Amino acid sequence: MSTIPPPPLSDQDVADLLKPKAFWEQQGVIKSLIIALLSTIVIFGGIAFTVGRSEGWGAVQQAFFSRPDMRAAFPKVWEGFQLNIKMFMIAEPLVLAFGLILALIRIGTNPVLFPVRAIAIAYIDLFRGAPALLVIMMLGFGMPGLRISWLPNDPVFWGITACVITSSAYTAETFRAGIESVHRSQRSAARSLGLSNRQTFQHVVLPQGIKAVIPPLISGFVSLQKETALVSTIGPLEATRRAQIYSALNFNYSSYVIAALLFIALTIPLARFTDYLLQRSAKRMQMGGLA
Amino acid sequence: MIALLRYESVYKAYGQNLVLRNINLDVQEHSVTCLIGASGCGKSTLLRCTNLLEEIQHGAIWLRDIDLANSQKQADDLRARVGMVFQSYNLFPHMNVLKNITLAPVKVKGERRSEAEDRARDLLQRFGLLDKALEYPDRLSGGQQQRIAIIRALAMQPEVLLLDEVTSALDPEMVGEVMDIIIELKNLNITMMLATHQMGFASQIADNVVFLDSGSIVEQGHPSQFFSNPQHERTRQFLERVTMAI
Ligand SMILES: Nc1ncnc2c1ncn2[C@@H]1O[C@H](COP(=O)(O)OP(=O)(O)O)[C@@H](O)[C@H]1O
Ligand SMILES: [Mg+2]
Repeated sequence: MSTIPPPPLSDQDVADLLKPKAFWEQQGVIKSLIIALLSTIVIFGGIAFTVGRSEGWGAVQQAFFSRPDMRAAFPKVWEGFQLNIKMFMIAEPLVLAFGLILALIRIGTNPVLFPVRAIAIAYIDLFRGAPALLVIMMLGFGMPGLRISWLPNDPVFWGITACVITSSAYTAETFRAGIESVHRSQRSAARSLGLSNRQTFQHVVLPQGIKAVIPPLISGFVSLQKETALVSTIGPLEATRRAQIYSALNFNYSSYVIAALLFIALTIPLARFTDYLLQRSAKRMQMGGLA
Repeated sequence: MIALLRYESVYKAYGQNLVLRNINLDVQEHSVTCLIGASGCGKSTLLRCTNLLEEIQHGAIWLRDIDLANSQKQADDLRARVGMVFQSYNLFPHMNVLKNITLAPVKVKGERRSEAEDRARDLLQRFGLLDKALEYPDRLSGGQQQRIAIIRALAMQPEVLLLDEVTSALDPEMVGEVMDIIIELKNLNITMMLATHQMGFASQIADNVVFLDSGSIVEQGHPSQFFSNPQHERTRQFLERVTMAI
């Protein structure tokens, strides 16, 4: 049976095919949007309905989401939050620097430095596993407790120190993973041009290794921001501590919600930035292929 | 005439695996030497040893009057005098083309940046890649990346250029542009040693063809004799197999 093939598309039809389509004109977009919308209504509506209808909702709403309490607590919590930001801003550069130094020590192969390497490994194992809260309390209560005159006894100082100690152990492993992810052939290429071991590391391996782990490093920033809240256990009047004080005086938890919102507001931009970086590197992978 | 490169009873092992056995070979200045042989016969290893990326267990590799293999102290300086280009290009992905080319001249030779960049631009111009000077490697085709890698090695003005299967990772339509650059380098009298699977190219460009089998040199000679009248049974078998494959 012979069929006559349909005539080819006219130039105009081909041009139409190639015309860029608006987002909603693309195949299946409308359907997906409708399904997403419906499922959102069903799920969130269901939750709202169940929670709202529950017997205790009124009381919970009053305790956690009371507008007047939020407004009243805000100034003090905001003031406290600035201390969180300050602790974070001081701690983060130290974490990055110290984490990188630890990673470099760990990666090295010089036999003379073996003892230093052993210490670095022990340090990383110890503080990556230790809960930050415990380290904060041990330093914050323990160090001043030693009554050594030249040691500072400012709890903010010990809080920052504890955050730096725990985060840098974690960050060191992130850096190490990045550095080790750089392909061996990059090193060969650099050495073949006459670069020394050190130059190769400094100009070729390290920059690529760091670039590879920027997203997890930013996740580390977010954890560190939250860790500063734990410093409240040793006294400083940061946001959660302020919230706690308000809550104790007014028998209302809305102050905590305010503190939480402030932390969230700070982390969302970082999270979106990480997404953007990951997306960009995924695109590069597709384009670059081998590279 | 004293050879530019002279291999003297070179042995190389990876652990228990003897990869190069008693290599004796001269590479004359301004000549092109092609290494051929089956995959795994030791071509890359021989080149990597020449560039001091690998240590040998026995023997000597002379670059003029210096024994490359046994002068660990000046290894970095010596490495700079021998250029190498790899199958997988290995451009530095975090640097643009110009930076890729000028990194070593600036850091190793201590050239002024402006000077190194001028020379890099000259080289790019000569090989028709000047418009890529500020691109990053991931924006370039494989053929362009490999040509840049060759220019990067040339920018150090090496005394000999080692090329390890530099067209093997390329799509067929890009092989030509990289071969053209190699032919141009031959016309510029640059001493080259290249591992290749392309017999046609080897016979066109080589002054000396060296056939390796299981880490030993079985036979070498000028392509006119080597390809038309191979002396050894193993060479004949190998040539038959590769021509069958084409
Ligand atoms: N880094 C290495 N470690 C261990 N063995 C290797 C290494 N590189 C190559 N070899 C071995 O050495 C032999 C020669 O390899 P190679 O020089 O790459 O051959 P060719 O380039 O001719 O294909 C092979 O058997 C290979 O498995
Ligand atoms: Mg090889």
